[in-house]
Parts: sequence; structure tokens; C-alpha cells
Amino acid sequence: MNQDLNAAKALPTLLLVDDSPAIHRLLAVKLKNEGIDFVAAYSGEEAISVANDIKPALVLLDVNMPEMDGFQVLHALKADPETHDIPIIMLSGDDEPEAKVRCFELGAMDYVTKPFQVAELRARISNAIRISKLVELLEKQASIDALTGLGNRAFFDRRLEEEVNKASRTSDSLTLVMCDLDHFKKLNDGFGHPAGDAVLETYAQILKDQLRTYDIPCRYGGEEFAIILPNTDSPASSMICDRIRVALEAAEWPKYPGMKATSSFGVTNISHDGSHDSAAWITAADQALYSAKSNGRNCIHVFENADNIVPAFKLAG
Amino acid sequence: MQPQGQTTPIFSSLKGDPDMDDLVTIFVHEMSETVTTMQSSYEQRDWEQLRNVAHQLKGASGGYGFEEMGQAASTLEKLLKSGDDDLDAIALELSALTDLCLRASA
Repeated sequence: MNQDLNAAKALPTLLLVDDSPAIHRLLAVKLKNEGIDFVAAYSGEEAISVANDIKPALVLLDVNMPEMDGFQVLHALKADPETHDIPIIMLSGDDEPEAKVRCFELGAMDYVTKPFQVAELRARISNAIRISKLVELLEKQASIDALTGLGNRAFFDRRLEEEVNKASRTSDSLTLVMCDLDHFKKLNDGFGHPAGDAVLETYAQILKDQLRTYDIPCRYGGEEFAIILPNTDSPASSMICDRIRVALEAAEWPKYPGMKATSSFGVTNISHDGSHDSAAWITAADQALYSAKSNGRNCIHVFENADNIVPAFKLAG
Repeated sequence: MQPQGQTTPIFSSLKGDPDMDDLVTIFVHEMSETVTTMQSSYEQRDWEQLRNVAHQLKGASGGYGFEEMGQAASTLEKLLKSGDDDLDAIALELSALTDLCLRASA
């Protein structure tokens, strides 16, 4: 199991933090056949800087060190988003429950007392690496829409908030696009749900092909998609949207003769009320999308502040 | 300080483990320096340094197959941790520990 998970990548790197050189020598020898790359740190300060540099797969952290102790290092690593997800096993000569509980509360994955049984430590190391890989996988899967492979709604909400905050901080431009497949219900009814799925998948592929690596396409729900375009102003975003629009319109559906798919776009570079609230961005883009639908579909509408705020409305589909 | 009476060598319980023999040799070789550090800490009443060395020994010695040394280091560490600075009590535990350190053999 471990081997399978590790096989694809280079050897996982383990950062050992302990002020005792005897412990470093012992573990380097005892774990030499475990398929692990060893990196050594002899103090808390060194550990934090090395962890930031190399992002190890696991940290073995001695609790009792002079100057900065293991609790402080653990706290610092967990507080930094860069190192927050690295699993940490505490090593300690103390068997006191208070110390153990404190480590777990600070975010340690495991706690091993010295002198340790090497076989037990090996098992705990591979267990910690396995769990952290599974957590990573789970987090990734929980962010992905299963049909299209794009980010899902939860992922979009999180990323939009991040990007809106970032743009308001840096004054960089930001664009949000809401796009919707035209007459999707008719298409499903007329050609069957597999045809509808094929359109959704093809559209997702068009988004991936047409967008830049730093753009963020997501499935917002049903036949609605949302695209976050960081550092992008209005003319550039309209051009990108038009490429997507043309690509879907030109798509051929040999399995579904006579089928045609198009999409409409609502684009905004500002929130509808000028706030830094991500919900206000969605409202503005939705409004623009509504205008695009009203203008006959298969087109792009850019939100302007002069647009009337449409009260509770439902998209015509 | 009590004189070092015992000279019977103590061997690592891991002796014969091909992975360990070289490591044990280095560990044993370092013992004289470790003992010197502990003795000078005692003479300077530097309890923090003495406690750190005892703590390191406690953590490492078991892994090198010197379990008895680990227990003696643990006893000394606990005594120093308790804040008891009774010189005789510390001297007694320290000499028990240094005796084991000096008898450690590869």
C-alpha cells in the first residue's frame, strides 16, 4: 500500500529535528531501508527555515530542545499556511499525558516517546505519511466536480473570496464570468441526458483549452459555470469569452445528429455595489448573464454600474 | 565525587547487529567527552546544562542498547527537574550515571 502510494514520486523527505547528534545517526541507519530521504535540523530555528525551503513529507520533532522547544516549533509550523499541512510526529523523553495532549491540540499527528522501538517508529512514520496523502487526496476530491473535473461550487466560493480579497489589497484587476449553456433543458429533453453530459464535458474541456493556467474555471451548478480571471481587465476577458463562445458553437456532435449547443456570458470587473464582498461580484456577473440571455443568448454582456439591479429573477435557461 | 570503582565493561544489548556496531562504537567513543561535560557542569553548578546532557542521554542510550544508562540518566534528570539542589543527592546520581557511561564498551 505504502509502496504503491510512494512509487510514482521521488522518495519522500523526512525532516528530523533533534538537538542530539546521537539520535540523528541512529535514525539515519535504522530507517535507511525505508525509502526515505533524510534531512537534519539541530535546532528549532533551523527546523522552521528548512521546513519552509524543502516542504518535507513528514517532520520528526523533538520536544525538549534548548532555546526554541518543540512546542514552539510545532506552533510556528502549524500557523504558517506554507507548512500547515505537513504531518508532524513529536519525539519526546517525557511520557506525561499533559505534554502529549498539548502536542495533539497544537496539531501534531502523533507522539512517540524516547527511547523508541525502531519498528514502532517505522510503522508510525509510514502511517503518518499515508494518512497525510489520503487527507490531501480527500481535500482535492472534495473540491472537484466529478463529471467535468473542474473545481466545484465549494472550491469556487473559496477561491473567489481569496481572489477578491487579493485584488482589493493589491488593486490588481479581476474579472468574474458566469456562463450558462443555452436552452440546456430542451437539449436534455430532445437528445437525452447522455447528450447533456457530453455537452457539459465538452464545455469543460473548451474552458481548459482556452483559458490560461492561472485562470480558475469551475462548475457553479447544473449547466452554469463560473470563471475567475485574475489580473484581467474587461477587453481581455471579453476576448477570452468570445473564443469560448465560438468554440462551443463550432463543436460537432456526430453521436447526436442535429444537436447544437451555445452559451451565454455575464462578465464583471467590479462588484455591483463597489464592495469587496464576493457575493456582490456574483450578483453583478449574474445580472450581466441575465442581460446576455435577454439579448438573445449565445453572446457576452459586460456588467456596468448603470445596469439596473434586477430584483429576484430566474434565468430563462 | 565518588571514585569510579567499577571497571566491568557493559556491552550494548544490540551488539552483533551489523547495522549498529559502528554506531555503538561512535556512541561509546563519545562517552568520555559526555562525562567530562557532566562533571564540569556539576562543578560549576550549571544544573541546566547538566539536565540537558542527562536528557539527551536518556533519549539516546536506549536506542543504542544501553538501557541501564538510560534509567540512570532519567533518575538524574528527574532529580534536577524537581529543583532539588542537594549537592550530595546530585553527586550520587551523577556518579551512578558516569560510572555506567565509562563502563560502556563497543
